[in-house]
Amino acid sequence: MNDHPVSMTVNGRPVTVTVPSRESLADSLRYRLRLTGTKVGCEQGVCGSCTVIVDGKLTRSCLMLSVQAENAAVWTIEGLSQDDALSPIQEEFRVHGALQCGFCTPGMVVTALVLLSGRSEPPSREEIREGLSGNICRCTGYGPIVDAVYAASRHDLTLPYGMSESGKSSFVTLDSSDPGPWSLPGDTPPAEPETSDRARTGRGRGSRRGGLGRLKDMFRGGRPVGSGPGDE
Amino acid sequence: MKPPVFDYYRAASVDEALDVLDEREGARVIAGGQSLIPLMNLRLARPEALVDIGRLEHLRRVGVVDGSLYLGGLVTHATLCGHPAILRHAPLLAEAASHIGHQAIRERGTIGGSLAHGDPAAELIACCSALGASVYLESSSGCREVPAREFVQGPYSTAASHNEIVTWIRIPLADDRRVGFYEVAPRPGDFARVGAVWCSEPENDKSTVALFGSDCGHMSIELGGDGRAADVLDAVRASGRVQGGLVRVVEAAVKRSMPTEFHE
Repeated sequence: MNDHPVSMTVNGRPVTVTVPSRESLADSLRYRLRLTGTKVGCEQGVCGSCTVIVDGKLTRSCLMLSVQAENAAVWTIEGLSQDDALSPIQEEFRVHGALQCGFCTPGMVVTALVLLSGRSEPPSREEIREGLSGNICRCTGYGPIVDAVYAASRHDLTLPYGMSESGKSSFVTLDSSDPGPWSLPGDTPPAEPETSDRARTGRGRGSRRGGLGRLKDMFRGGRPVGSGPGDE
Repeated sequence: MKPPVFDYYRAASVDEALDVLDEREGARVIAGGQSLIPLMNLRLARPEALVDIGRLEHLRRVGVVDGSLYLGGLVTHATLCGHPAILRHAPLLAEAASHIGHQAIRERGTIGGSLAHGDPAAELIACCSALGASVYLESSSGCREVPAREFVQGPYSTAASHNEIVTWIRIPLADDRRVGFYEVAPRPGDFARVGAVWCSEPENDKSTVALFGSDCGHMSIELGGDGRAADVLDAVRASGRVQGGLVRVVEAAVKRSMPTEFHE
């Protein structure tokens, strides 16, 4: 009961790992897949150094169990660049001296990527500060990091990613003809057996895959492709 | 730290999850895990088994039916911040959710999880109380609807028993409703020290103040009157349940209030 096979794609590559249920996604990435770019700091969701992208959404990989990542598309700092080239955000971090010890940097870069993607206009410095507020850096004093992200927001990378759109498209609006508490007659008396909601699963996967498709496009290069198809 | 050993079940339906909860008394429900996993990593929580309901996609839905806004228990805080139906009919929830943690937390944390966790600093319970919402609790013996005000019974203590799952939240909509929100936290995204939610419905001749925060816990005060802002503070003082600085927090919530409209 305690070991589970988990299949996911990591940086576009399908992988299957067998993990105990207590293992965090961060530990699987680091110790099973040897993707040690993702750092583990506080292990309670405070420091942000373990931030990765799961199904197009920023995620603390220390607060997600590996077993919960079944079928997920995971992107880590290693997937942001190809070969030895730096991604535009990484390059701006280098130019601006936005890292010292480097421990927080992968989480910062991943967070910045999601922050900058899919926006119609570049964020203000205030918005960048807010966007990075969940990532703690003990070296730089944040100034150079904000400068680097601000500079990166001027790159073409911002629009093509279309990730905030993918977030929007994952909203699921209920259909009142579907069974649910609203389809019960009148007020629901306590303890009345309710069978309406059962056995309905598997909705919404399509929109997630949409987000994955766009993520794949985005990591293929900084080519502007406009907002992705089927966003609304 | 790492969490203690536990068994993991991925539920494919609400029924399946309820079966596990019935079989194993030490089992707990996990969805986004943004409250439970930190507690497990700190070993403050040691469930013997986790039932993952995160794949029950039908509980991610949001919509208006018969004058009520229904939110599935798996609706994330990020969805609350941006879903068109919520921005239109319950902007209070969008405002409150934007104060929960940081983006990465909001993407996975769910409203059902926040309610079931019962953190005294949780914004959403206070909002649900003020809005007159109710919580649907499903167990193998059926489904019951509990008013949000009665749902919280103390810090980390709720009306849900261990074999029940928060499946839906229902928020009755009203014309001419005014809502306000204010919280004090050391930094944006931190747990609120104190916070207040105000909701007034002049047509129904009522207004409600709900307080939350790690310093004051949850408290919900129902006030009569026509819900005019000026009367609220007097009424709150007269209730004798709020004093000193907390009154100023309520005042700030009232001052920042915004009208919300509902036309079906």
